Amino acid sequence: MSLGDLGISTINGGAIGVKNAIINGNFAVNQRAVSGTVTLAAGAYGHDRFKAGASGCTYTFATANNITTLTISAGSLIQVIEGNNLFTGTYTLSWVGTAQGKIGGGSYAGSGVTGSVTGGTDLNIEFNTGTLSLVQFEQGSVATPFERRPYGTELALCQRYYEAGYSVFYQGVTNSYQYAAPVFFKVTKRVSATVVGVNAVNTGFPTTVTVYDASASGFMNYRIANATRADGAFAINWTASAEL
Amino acid sequence: MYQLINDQITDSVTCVKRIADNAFIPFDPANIDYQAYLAWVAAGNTPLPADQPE
Repeated sequence: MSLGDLGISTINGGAIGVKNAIINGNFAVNQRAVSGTVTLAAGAYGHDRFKAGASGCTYTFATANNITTLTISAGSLIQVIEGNNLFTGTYTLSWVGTAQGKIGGGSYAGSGVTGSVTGGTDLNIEFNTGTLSLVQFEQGSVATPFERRPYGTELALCQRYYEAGYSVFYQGVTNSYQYAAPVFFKVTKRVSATVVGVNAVNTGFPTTVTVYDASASGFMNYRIANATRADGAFAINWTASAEL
Repeated sequence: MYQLINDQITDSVTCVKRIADNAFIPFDPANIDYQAYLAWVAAGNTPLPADQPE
């Protein structure tokens, strides 16, 4: 038998391929630009894909040699894994650090927690106080080395749930006429997204930001001109959230 | 507090604005912000009406 004939379905009992169901397990993606001592109310998001638990969360973080470590001093931190990315079977949760973690409604324990997963059902992964880095959740009952994905891949995975951007409209405009600038997301969202727009430019337009037709693929940035100008313009800094 | 938003293009209410942070929330049952809005309404609250089309 040649090496090419080998059929390997697992290595060390773990999945082959994209094995880590946790997104941003290295906390490299921080689109909300949290910094310093991060204090989150219950359900509020800090680093991408991680939100505070029912009692909120307070943490600091530091990056060394491209590995970011959180130090959670109060509350808990949760990642809700989308059911689309889970399959029925045993999974293992592993990480580096002193925090304890749990799977769904299970009990807190040290790294190497195993649990049964129902495919297609959203699942909470939660960590309490302590240090935390290199979080992984994989099929099988054995914790394998952390999967190191390219930053661009990790960012795109995060952008299914949250994205930030800038939209600008610029042309000659007529007073009281309506104008709209379409915005297309870089990554299709999980669901129709909640959009927050903050005025950045208004020449011939009011400062008020209005958004229409927010979907999973984009939205319309809309205003009514309040002057006739050859250089009409409006722009917003926007965020789109389709978090769990 | 929320306000209904009238889509000037379709002349219909297609989303609601969360006034606290100017978030425009689409009427998608799987959107957690919309779920929170529905819970707010179910608790007996009423959103502000949409501004009239200009």
